[in-house]
Amino acid sequence: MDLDVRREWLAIALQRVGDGDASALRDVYEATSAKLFGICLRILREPADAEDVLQDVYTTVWRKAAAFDATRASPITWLATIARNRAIDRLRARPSRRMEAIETALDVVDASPSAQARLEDAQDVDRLHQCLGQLDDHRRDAIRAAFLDGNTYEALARRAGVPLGTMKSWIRRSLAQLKACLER
Amino acid sequence: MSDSGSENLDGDAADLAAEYVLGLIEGPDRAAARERLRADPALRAEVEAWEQRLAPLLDQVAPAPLSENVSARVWERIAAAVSPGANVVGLRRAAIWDRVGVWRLATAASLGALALTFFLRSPPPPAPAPSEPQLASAAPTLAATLSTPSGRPLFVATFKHAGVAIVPVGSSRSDGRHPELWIIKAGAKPVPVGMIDDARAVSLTLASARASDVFAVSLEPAGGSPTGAPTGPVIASGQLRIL
Repeated sequence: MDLDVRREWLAIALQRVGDGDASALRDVYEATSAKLFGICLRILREPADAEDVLQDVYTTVWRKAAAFDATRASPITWLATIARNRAIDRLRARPSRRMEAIETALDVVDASPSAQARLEDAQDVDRLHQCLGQLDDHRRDAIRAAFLDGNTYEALARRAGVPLGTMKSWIRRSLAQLKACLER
Repeated sequence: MSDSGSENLDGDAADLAAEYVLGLIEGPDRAAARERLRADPALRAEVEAWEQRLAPLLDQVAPAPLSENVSARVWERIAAAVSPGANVVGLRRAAIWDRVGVWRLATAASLGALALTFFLRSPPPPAPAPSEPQLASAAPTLAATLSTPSGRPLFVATFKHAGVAIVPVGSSRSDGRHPELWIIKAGAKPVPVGMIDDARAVSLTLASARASDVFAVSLEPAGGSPTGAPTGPVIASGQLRIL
């Protein structure tokens, strides 16, 4: 239940940001910067880059908050999506790929979502995990490494030790399977 | 790597949307995909659908709290970017009064009643702490309009000197359950304030509150939530503002 209240709080705060209330942006920043910084850092691995992107994320929130529609997306999903997209953009814009960063991504252990840290409806989380669970291990890992760590097709193929073309068809087929499962 | 791009753009839009969301469209293809997204509402809808589908994965990413210094530095840069040369506090004032104006007329009468209730029923102000006497006496009155998610006001509440006064301004269906007031500080769990009434004004004690805290009302069994967290639906909420 407290998830609903926090979601409500955040939705109201975003509405105020959309009205041009800079103090509301500060509230949103205080309530969500740790989570969004976590997302940026996970993808970028460089605190200085993640800080830059974090700033960019909240200025984007300032510009786009009026378009936020609480009936279509949960506020934290909306924010997290902006953070993830910005971090991926930054990662892809780097002149040279940091291969070592991609390799170390393998060692990152995912925090198990504790009840308190949970951002999404438990139902949605369980459903996604259930559907991911139906995929072959390698394919599930590849989807997670792409989404959470920002790995490219090339990196995913190297990680799994398969040709690039194989990885592409794995991913495409897995995504189709995932979509079908989630829509059942 | 870019060999995949043109093939993606010509291929199934569903593949493109999913791969775009995963971040697997790279280089010039990513910019091209973005162009196409701007022009193609169906593709945009599919991208949004994929973002929703995969967002629960982000639950697993551990938050990385910023140190106080870093947090302040990043905020300064954000503040400078969103209101170049402007005073953020000034912005804040204008915005509050813009919003307050919307409901001020509708609830002026209630607020009058509320002020009266407040002075009649609120507990005496606590003795100011010796270290900050002027702070206590200068503490502003805070007020919140608690509205339904659709924006209909149900309660108006004020806070001053460790006392909350809350009056109903709209009718709510409680279905035999009882409204309970909660206070929510940024990023924290709701803390129960007390049981309220959807037909009359009630005053409660509350040690502290500040502007930007949120009041919320949930429907609970008689006597309040048995768990210390809201167990029933949240029917109204609103943010505290300096009155």
